[in-house]
Amino acid sequence: MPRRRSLVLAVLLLLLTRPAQAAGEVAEARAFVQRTGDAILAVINGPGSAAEKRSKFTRIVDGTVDVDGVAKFALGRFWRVATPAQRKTYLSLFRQYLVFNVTGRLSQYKGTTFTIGRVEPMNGDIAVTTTLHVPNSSPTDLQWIVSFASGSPKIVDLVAEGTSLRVTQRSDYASVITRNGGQNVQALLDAMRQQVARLEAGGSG
Amino acid sequence: MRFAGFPFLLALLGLAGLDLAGCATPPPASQPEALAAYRQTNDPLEPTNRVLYAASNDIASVSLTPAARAYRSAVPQPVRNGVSDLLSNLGSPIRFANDVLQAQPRRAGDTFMRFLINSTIGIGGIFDVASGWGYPAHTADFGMTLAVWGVPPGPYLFLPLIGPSDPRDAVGFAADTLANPVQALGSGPAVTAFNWATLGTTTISQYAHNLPAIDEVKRTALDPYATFRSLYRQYREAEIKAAEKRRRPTIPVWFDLPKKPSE
Repeated sequence: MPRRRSLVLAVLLLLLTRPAQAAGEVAEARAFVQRTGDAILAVINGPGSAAEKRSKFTRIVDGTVDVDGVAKFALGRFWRVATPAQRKTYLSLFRQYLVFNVTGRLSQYKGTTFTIGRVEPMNGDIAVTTTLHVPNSSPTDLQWIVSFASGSPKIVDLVAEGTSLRVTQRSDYASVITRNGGQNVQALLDAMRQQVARLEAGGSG
Repeated sequence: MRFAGFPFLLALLGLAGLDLAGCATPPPASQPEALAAYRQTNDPLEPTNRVLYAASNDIASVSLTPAARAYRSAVPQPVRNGVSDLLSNLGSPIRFANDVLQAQPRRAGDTFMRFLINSTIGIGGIFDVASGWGYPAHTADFGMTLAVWGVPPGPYLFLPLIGPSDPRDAVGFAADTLANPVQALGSGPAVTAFNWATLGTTTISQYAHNLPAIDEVKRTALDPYATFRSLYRQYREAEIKAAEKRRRPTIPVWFDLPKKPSE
């Protein structure tokens, strides 16, 4: 009987603490996005050369984005097919791609401000909606998907106008792999390597 | 002329349907995951679509893209916004009809009030006054209406001049175009000229608006075709989900409510 009672108690506790925990996560996710957004804007609007800004930005990405998690999601079912060496190369290329892709565009966002709107739980994560006010264009909504799976808040996805960054990335990668002969992860790695080199050369502004 | 694009669209749909040689081969049943992914991508006409995508890109790069770039550099952002708002206001009757067909009284009310306010105070729709007054803009077209009615999208299609689509949206596009109330004004040269002018301006205005995003995808995607396909599907799904969600309060924002903790 005591065992049973403790089980009931555990379930009750779980039921009681679960929404409270979610509410805590909602508040924490909001503060986290505010902090991260402020930090990114400080880099964009702050002084320094493009290279300095890139290294500052890389540090923010490493501290706030679950880069490996996003990378694994983007590779989807091919993660299991990939050899350990391929996985390692892939993770490193993905991280470089992410940084070069975004730093290439940083200067376009000079003078941007943002406000936080609705914050709500979504499929186990917290979705934080922000409205970006980029000078000379109409305001756009950007959703940050924040996961607490690792204990601390991490960005796992960005959603703009209903389109998810990691889902789109996954479609892109899956297409490259299947078009090069079904399970050809190496073809993807080669294409990514070229792309990273191209982005690094072309988009430092 | 009712609309030159429509017979062309039908011919194209026929072409896409008949061109069996241009079909992708599904993976064998021995690879269930690959087969599931193939079904999910739902692009059996991929080889044909890719040809049309490449051709569209080539044509756009010497026509639409330079025109849109010229428009962007010659016309300042506020004026471009005005043009876009004006065109959007012209589409209000169709949007209203689709809101009604989707059984969305609140959205229909929004569209009605937007048309009323923007056509008068917004000087024919150049200024979007209504958004600030608590009647936000939304999209509604017959493709979405069909989706709300439960019609599945069908396989992916890439249509020249129109871009990413599917049979549901292609039928929706044709229906919206034919239902344009301007058609009811008659078929004189003035109506024809007006239709062509609106079509031309809408195309340039929308393309100019989307150009940075299009350039961005081409710059960063490994396979832009697959990326556009994914983006289009996700975008439409989100639009349809927004149409099905009935969360918007009936009371406009300017109405002074007693303060309640936000949801």
